[in-house]
Parts: sequence; C-alpha cells; structure tokens
Amino acid sequence: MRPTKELGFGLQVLTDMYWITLKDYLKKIQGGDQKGMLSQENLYRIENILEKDLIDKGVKCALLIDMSGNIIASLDSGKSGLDIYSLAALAAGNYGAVGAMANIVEEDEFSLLFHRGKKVNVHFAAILNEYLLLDIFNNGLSLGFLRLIVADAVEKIKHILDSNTDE
Amino acid sequence: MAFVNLKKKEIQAKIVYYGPGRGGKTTNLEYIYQNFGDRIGGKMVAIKTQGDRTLFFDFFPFDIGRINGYQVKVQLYTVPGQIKYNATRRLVLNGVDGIVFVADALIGQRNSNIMSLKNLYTNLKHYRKNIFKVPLVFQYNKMDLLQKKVPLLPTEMLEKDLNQQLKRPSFAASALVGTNVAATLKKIISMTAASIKSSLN
Repeated sequence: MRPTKELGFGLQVLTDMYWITLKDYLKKIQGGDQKGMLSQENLYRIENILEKDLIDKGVKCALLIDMSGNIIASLDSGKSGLDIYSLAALAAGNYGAVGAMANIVEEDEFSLLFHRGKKVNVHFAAILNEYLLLDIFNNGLSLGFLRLIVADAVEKIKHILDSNTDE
Repeated sequence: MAFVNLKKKEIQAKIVYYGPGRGGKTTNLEYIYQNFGDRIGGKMVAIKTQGDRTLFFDFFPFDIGRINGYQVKVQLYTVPGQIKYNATRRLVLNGVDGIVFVADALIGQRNSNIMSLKNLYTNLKHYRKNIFKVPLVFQYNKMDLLQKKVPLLPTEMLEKDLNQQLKRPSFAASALVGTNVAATLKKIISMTAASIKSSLN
C-alpha cells in the first residue's frame, strides 16, 4: 500500500522516488546490520538493562540517545508524560555545549554532568563518545548511588554497542 | 545520521534550517508548527536570547506518517544565524541528514548569505561531510516584500551567488506568509530519504 492516503495535509503527495527509496531502505535494514541502527535483539538487551539496572532501582526515566539527539531506547517508571523527543534534542545539545566548553579550558571532558532541581534531577553519562545515557530521578535517590548504578549500566550497554559495531 | 529503531518500528532523521541571522529560519519552523500541528507530538522548543533571537536552536519532531509499518519522524532544527554563535551552530549540525539553506532576499543581505554558506561548508567539513554530497535545498525567503515594493535580490542573482556550483533545488518563498514553506520541506525530506538509501549501498 502506498503511504499517500495516510498523510492528509500539505505533504500528502510524496514523490515516487521517496516511496521507492524507503521501500528499498526498509528491506535492507531488516537484519539491523547497518550503521545507525541496532538489531532488535540488542535493543531488547539494552531496554532490559535500563529496566533492571535503573528503573527497578528507583530511576524515574532512562533514555539512551545518540549525540545527534535521536532516541535509541527509553524506559519510564510510569506515565510521566515527558516530551522525550525534546528532552533528547536538548540533552544532546547541552552535552555538546559542555564538551565544547571543556575543550576551551583544555580539558578532554567534564566527568560529571548533572542538573539538580527541587524535586527532579538529571544525570548524563557518555558511552563510547557517540551515545548518551540520560537518567531522570527524584530526591529519593542519592547522587552517589545513582552514579554507581549508572556506571554499571554504562559498562553493560558499552559491551552491547561494541558488539553491534563488530558484527 | 538517521536512526532506525527496529523494535519501535521508527525512523528518525535530522533536518537543519541553516542561513544568515534574521533570514527566516525560525519563521519557517513556526509556520510548520502552526499549520501542521496535528503532525507534531510535543511543543516547539525555542532557546532564545532576551531579544528574541535564536541562541541555540529551535526544535520539534514532525511525523510524516507510517510507511510500510514504520513511523517516520523528522527532527526539524534551526541554528542561530548570528556570526558569533558558530560554536553552537556547529553543534546543531552534528548528525545532520538534510539541510535547508534559508537565504535572505533583502538587498543588504547579499554578503551575509554568501558568508553563511561558506560557514556551512566549513562546519560540515568539521564532521567530515561534503557540502556537495549532503542533501541541500535553497530557499530564497522574504519574497512577500516584493508586494510592498521593497527592493529584493533577484532570484537569478541569488542562484548565481549561492547555487551556481551546487546546483540544488531552490524555492522563492515567504516563510511569513507560508509560500513554498511546505514545498521546501517536502523536497528536503525526499532528498534526505534518497541520500539515506545511497549511503547504505
């Protein structure tokens, strides 16, 4: 079925080229072996880590994003209703800006990036220089404990992302 | 680059509106946001200075529909146009899949357009991307001012200044009124999709 009928507004008439392109593209990616994607199995493994290692231990929301601001995986402890797409775009921009500041003051990076609010806090952890793990948690969880569980999760996710690159 | 989520059956691609300051990049996004709101999940994020100029970027995700079972989500960004914000401008370009260059058709902006395009070339080079290979569409903005008898750069001149070598699609447009805003977006989406395909070959 062609997609044109589903797009009821100004973009409804997608060109034939666009449709053919996406059809080919989707056919190619089923195996998940291209750069810019993870296999379905690896995504399940990452989501499992986010759930068991972070959400079950008190983190409100955990997001794995890339440095361009795309969301790779997201897990939530309930229906927080957060606008995760905007959050990911801002987090990637924020992390990039902090990294650029570090370079200006001749540091490779600032090892701790953390924003404290009255009730809610946000913690950033880079993975393999290409990905970012974002954790949103409230004051019931101490920063020290969060850093411990995040470090553990980062190692596990790193291993999966590394193996995905090698495949 | 574009990210494909096989589990959620979702494709995310990043399109950036680039160009000189006060050229109409934010106005493009505002027009799309106001007129195609049913396609947009969240609110438009705008990081502005007190003087209402873009400080970091404007952003919203835009659904272009479900294709073959995959939800295609385009992330639309603008960059700050002012020369002094190059560090943040470069950050926004990270992972870009397609670019709309919004040129300002006001006569006094001729040099700013050329400088901004040169800046785009340099910033893309930083990410090892070639301006000749990245999907790129030109939009010559503020054409509505012709009716108010404001002298503008002729499109032929804009083409010669900016697009003579690149030879990309271009649109005479008015982001304020909405003329060719959707056409520009449609074009960059189709070019971005074609580019994703060729990068996989």
